[in-house]
Amino acid sequence: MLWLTHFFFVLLCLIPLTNAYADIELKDLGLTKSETTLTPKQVEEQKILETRHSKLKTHEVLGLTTLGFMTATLLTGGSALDSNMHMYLGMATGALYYTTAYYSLTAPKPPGIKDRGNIVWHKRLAWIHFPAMVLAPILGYIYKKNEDDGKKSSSLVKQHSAIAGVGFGAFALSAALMTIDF
Amino acid sequence: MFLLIMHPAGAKDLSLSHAKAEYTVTHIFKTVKGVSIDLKGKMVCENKKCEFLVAIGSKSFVSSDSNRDLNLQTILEVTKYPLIMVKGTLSEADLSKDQFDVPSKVSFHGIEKEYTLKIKRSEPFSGQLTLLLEDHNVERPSLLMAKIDNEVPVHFNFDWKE
Repeated sequence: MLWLTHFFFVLLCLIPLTNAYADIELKDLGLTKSETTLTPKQVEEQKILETRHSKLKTHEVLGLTTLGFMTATLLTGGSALDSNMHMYLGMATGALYYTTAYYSLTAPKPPGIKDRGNIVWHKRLAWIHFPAMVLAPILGYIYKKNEDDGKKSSSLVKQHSAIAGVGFGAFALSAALMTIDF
Repeated sequence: MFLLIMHPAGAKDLSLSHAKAEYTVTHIFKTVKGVSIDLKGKMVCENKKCEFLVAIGSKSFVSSDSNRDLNLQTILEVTKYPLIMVKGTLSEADLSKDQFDVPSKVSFHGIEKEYTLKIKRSEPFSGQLTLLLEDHNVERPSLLMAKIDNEVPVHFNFDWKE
């Protein structure tokens, strides 16, 4: 009878051990608890990522809308002295452009992330289209005012369309970089 | 007797080595690839059957664009679901075949689904499975109103060492 009790005792010990051997667990891979469980710091990191994602999604939609308005503004440039359409489109483009920029500039970025790939050139091109988007409306306003007052515009003021064109080119390229792989 | 229980005769412990996973995401305008080398895995072979578990860091995939990688981390909720896990059972004899299928369970974005992992013996092993994003409740990212394809093939290269 004693040997039978002993046999069952050994059998009971054996069952969980063989199961443990068969079921590989994450700790068997050498993963630490911090690698498999959520910490408060990680919850915070996810919030940052979600805020960033949401702001950049708005940035994308507004950016493409801005590009549409920018194109319309450029196309109506020839009739700028005959109607106010070019001016109104320009004002809408400006408002959209700065709102687009706001969403990009306020999107939080997790620490330690270095820009890589097309995003680098997307950001670099802002150094061209941003000054153009500051100068073009000012020069356009001065040009129209001079024309209305019958005054002659300076050579810089006459560059309004050229500067706007450069800004448009840089902005369109910047948008294309995020859409197509070159 | 006790030692015999702890180390069953013929049981073999194998660790994953030289492992790489590469996803391919397809969009109407572009095809994107991302690579991870942060794979940890273990296989236990006993009584001619092998059981394995592989874990991949969800955050570890790197593509050609840092901004895209951050978007991926957001969508996959990498802090909440830090690991993608693949587990399955196969016959030990399969390991010497040129090509074989392994029914596997993939836990991705916190949802476990069954897939067939297609394995080929090359350098020394390569495998592929096609993840279905919506089956794992992953919101498909979009660009210019067009979403990426639901099917995401993941290609693996790996070896097992004792």
